[in-house]
Amino acid sequence: MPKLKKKVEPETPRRDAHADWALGAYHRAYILTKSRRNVDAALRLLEQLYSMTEPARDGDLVDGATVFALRVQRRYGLALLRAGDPRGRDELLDLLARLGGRDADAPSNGGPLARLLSDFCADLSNIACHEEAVEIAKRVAAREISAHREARRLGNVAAWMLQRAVYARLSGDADGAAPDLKDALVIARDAVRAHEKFVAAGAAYEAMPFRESRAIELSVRSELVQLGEHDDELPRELSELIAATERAESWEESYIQKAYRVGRLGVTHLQYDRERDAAWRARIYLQLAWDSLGNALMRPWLPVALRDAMLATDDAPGAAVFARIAADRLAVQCSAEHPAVRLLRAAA
Amino acid sequence: MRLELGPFPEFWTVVANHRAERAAAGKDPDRTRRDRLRRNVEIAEQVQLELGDVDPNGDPDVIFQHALSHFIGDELSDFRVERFPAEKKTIKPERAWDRGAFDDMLKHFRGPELDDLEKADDHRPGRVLLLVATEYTLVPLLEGAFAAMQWGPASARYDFRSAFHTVTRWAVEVDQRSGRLVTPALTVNGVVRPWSTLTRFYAAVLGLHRPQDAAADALAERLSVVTLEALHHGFKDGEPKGAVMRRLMTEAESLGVIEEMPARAIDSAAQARTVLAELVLQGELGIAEPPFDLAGAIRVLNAEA
Repeated sequence: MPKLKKKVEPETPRRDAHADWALGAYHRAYILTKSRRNVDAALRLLEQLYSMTEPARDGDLVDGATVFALRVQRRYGLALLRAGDPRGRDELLDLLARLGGRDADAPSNGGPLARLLSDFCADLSNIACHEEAVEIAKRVAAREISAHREARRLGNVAAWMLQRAVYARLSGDADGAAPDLKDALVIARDAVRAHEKFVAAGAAYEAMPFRESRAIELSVRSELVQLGEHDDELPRELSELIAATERAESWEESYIQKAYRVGRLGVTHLQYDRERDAAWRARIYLQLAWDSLGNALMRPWLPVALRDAMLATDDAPGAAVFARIAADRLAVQCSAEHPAVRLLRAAA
Repeated sequence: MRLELGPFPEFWTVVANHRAERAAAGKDPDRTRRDRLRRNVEIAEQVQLELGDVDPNGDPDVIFQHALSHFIGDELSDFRVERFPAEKKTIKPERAWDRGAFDDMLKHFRGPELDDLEKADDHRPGRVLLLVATEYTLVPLLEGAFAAMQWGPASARYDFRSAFHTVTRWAVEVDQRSGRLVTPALTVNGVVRPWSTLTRFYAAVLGLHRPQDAAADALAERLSVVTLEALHHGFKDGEPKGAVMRRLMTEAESLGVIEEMPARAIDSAAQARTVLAELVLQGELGIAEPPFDLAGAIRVLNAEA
């Protein structure tokens, strides 16, 4: 009979450390998914964590291990989408079902679950589950939380309402878009005022969330202009916001946050057409925004506006090629039924 | 290849001390005595239990004073009585526990950061106990993050971003009390000292990128101090964790530990385009005057393409 090798116990004061080891590895995966260059590495690591945490996914939603397993699932779905894999959308839809669908909520003692829900609303908006994103975000923002967190969550509610309105506009439903935009503007301005107060009270670190809430407000106004409203101040205010962003430390805002602001500036050039080369400037800025996204998930208005700018600069062949590329990417994220995908496919 | 998560014993002070002692005695440093590991667990868990009434919210210096008060002076705490009972019964609280056994026990768990503290009112034993308990909740997270780094390497920028993120999350979410009191525990006469636990971790991360660099240990020590200062600032000023991360990344950049932020676009063709576009944008915003008609130049470039 062969001699069995004695099992060597790992040397550690913490024999019960498995959950913390997984959490440490998850932190690593989280950072890798923030990088546009490390998507494959993030995906490999998340595949491992996804498989490790599988048994906990069906647990009680207030249980820490279950919330962690669902966080892993969320991150895994996002990494798949960034890698261009449509299974990512399925993962996010499966997660939505596990969380309770549109009625998803967190009990008063479910802080980690509430944070997961709040973060998940961004993904729901990105995969065009707009009703769920707005409903859940409103519920999460209504929880008893700190004033700072409440201001951020209000900004999020406005942002997801804005995206729902964009969907309606791209579907040709201007009447459906307008009420959302008007409500979103009120909420976004509340968030701006709250952040403004924090900054005035000496919280210098609130400058970044202040700019973010301003960006949401100005984006809502940009969409209102798309629906025919007049807003003479928008180009100047948008330029001032981008100038403030450019002057801030490079670390304060991500390229993606900057991209959408610059993209919106591009849209104003198309909307207002006040300068020589307006269409070219629009194209340059929208292209800059598109290039900045890399493999990140995108807001559907951006490729549609860039295609319009290409057409406005008399580049129909370029617009057709771009529309095909953008539609293929967007279909993975939002499904082939999304109105932006249809618009782009029709133009390709 | 499957990801195997497991311990990195060298991150633990008790193991690091034991290895140093064995190496100094000419013995195999890789063998660690299990009873010391077990005692480390007992001490850490008892300290955590003892600190159960310390509110983790608020000013970190106040939290530290409250935590330290459990282990200094003549006040009798459960920790002292249960762990170090006096041989003889006494009604005087200061004699109800065995101070000598306490000091002797701590010998193996002390890091180098506080060894020069000789005066009684420096409260070295109390500080050491707090660090033992603090290490207990942090190190497993560091082990998990480091195992993942070794399993799937990335650039120094993303490895250190992962490292800072793990430490910041621990302090802000996982163990808020330890996160708040670790910097005061390592602050002597207003000067923050490096935390050997964190220094060993950062040295390991640096080792993934510059294995032969003689300056790595000094850099790791500097990053250790910078991390403690950033956490303390964050808690003092009520900053969100993102602000702490920004401080750490900015400092790591200025120390040359990580590369500059990567270019805006991923592929090289787009990179050239984005550089020109940024110049156009800066011209329009009045941040910088473009040297020529950039928009026109880009138009021509596009037409030629």
